[in-house]
Amino acid sequence: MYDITRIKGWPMPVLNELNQPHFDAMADGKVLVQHCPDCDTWLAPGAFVCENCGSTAVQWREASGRGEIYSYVVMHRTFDPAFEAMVPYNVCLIELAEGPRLLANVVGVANNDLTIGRAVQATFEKVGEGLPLLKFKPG
Amino acid sequence: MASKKPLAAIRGFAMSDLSRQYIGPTWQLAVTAIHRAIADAGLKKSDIDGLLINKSPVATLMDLPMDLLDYAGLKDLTLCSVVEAEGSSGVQMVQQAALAVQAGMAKAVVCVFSDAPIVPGVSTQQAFGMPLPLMGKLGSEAPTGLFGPVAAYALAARRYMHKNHLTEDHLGAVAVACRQWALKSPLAMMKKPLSMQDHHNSPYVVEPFHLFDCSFPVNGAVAVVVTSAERAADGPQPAVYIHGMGQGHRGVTNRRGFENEIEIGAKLAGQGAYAMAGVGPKDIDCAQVYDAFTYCILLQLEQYGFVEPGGAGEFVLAGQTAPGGSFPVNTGGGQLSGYYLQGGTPLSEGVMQARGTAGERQVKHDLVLTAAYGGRMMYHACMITSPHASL
Ligand SMILES: [Zn+2]
Repeated sequence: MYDITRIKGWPMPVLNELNQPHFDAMADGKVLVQHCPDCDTWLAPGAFVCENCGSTAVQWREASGRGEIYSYVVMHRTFDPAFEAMVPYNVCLIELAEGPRLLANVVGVANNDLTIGRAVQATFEKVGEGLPLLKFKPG
Repeated sequence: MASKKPLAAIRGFAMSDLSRQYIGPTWQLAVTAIHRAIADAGLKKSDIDGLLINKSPVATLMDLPMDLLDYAGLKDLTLCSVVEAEGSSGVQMVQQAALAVQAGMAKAVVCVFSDAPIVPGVSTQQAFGMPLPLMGKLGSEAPTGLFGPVAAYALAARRYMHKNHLTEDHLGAVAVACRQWALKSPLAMMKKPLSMQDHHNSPYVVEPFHLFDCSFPVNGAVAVVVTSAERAADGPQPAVYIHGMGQGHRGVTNRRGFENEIEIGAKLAGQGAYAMAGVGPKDIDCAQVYDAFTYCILLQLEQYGFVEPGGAGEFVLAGQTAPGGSFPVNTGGGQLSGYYLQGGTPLSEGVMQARGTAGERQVKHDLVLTAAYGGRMMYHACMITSPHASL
């Protein structure tokens, strides 16, 4: 449970010192995740140490933005007024080509056409006061 | 089977009233359950020297403070702690109490879970609908609109269903089996028969979950009194002997090769408990497992070794966990049709079954597995209990 920051009513990412670069990079249209130079493992944002080898030398690195749908749901109710007009909307877990998984909405596809394994590509859409948010589209 | 002494035993058990209405604050329900459990154990407040407290993760410490000991009128405790392991706490408290009793730190430990999520002006949807950091890494739940445990679990269920070629019939079969049990339980909240069609016709909350895939929150409290096996044998109620305990925590790894939705810590917890009790899954007569959502029963049946991986959907669809089936599961209706008191739900039914006091829904109970988990199935605890002091 945590508090949500809102801009013009829109929930913003919940930032901490471990994940801020990932969200900051969205303004530049980049999918920034983490990478361990010691064992060459790509990590989802928010890692302090490499979960594979324990190294603390984890670095931020740009991912290709290509990936596939690992799992998905369709929200038929929302629990937040900002999303009420969007119901039913999808939320997907995207597995990047490099390996890490990110939570995101997939745009440009009907909910009925979502499938696990479907190829997707990063795109950025402005929400709230024009802050770009990472989304994915078929591709 | 091995012939080992039990680790400890449950001597007292009670619940507060359960309600979908506001019937008092969390601490008050807790005190009621504590006093009733002490009376059920045939003990006095002055006999109690240990208190373990667990609150819902969505409640605050103000709702169920550590000074509950004063509210309950307990004095001279040699053990007192708030246990915070999310939904697995219901079983973890009993484990910790058993260890304390074994170590001589306390003689009679009360363990209590209490929750009052339903208050005037706040729906259960609002109470449980906040964004929760259930995806392993905090941050993206709110901006993507993933709210509440139901959404996080639906995401996990979709992956599990995909891997095992399951349909909503398999989820529905879980809900139907639980409802059949609930119809036999005077404590259960959901008393209308439920058909597969009723399940499918109920609205989606978060697809693939329909309304009847989700648990049923109530206000209420559960308390047990844990003592040594010897002391429990002297009580007015049948002793519930604890023969095996286990925990399993694997965290969440958000990258390729790690299926957090399928490989959960329950397997580790089960292995520990089976080894300690000297039994295996085939020896267990019934299971009481945490079923916040239908998918959770399927996965736990596999992880605790009752069904081969991927086989739970067909097993439940064939009616094996329902009344009359080969392996009764959540015989009080579970959290789906009975009452959602988090880890307190399987604990309560596990005690009633092991005591042999489950009335119309009583099943063979020489060995009962009780399991609870927390988070998005990140934290697991289980125990193997029996009315028999030696196995
Ligand atoms: Zn590494």
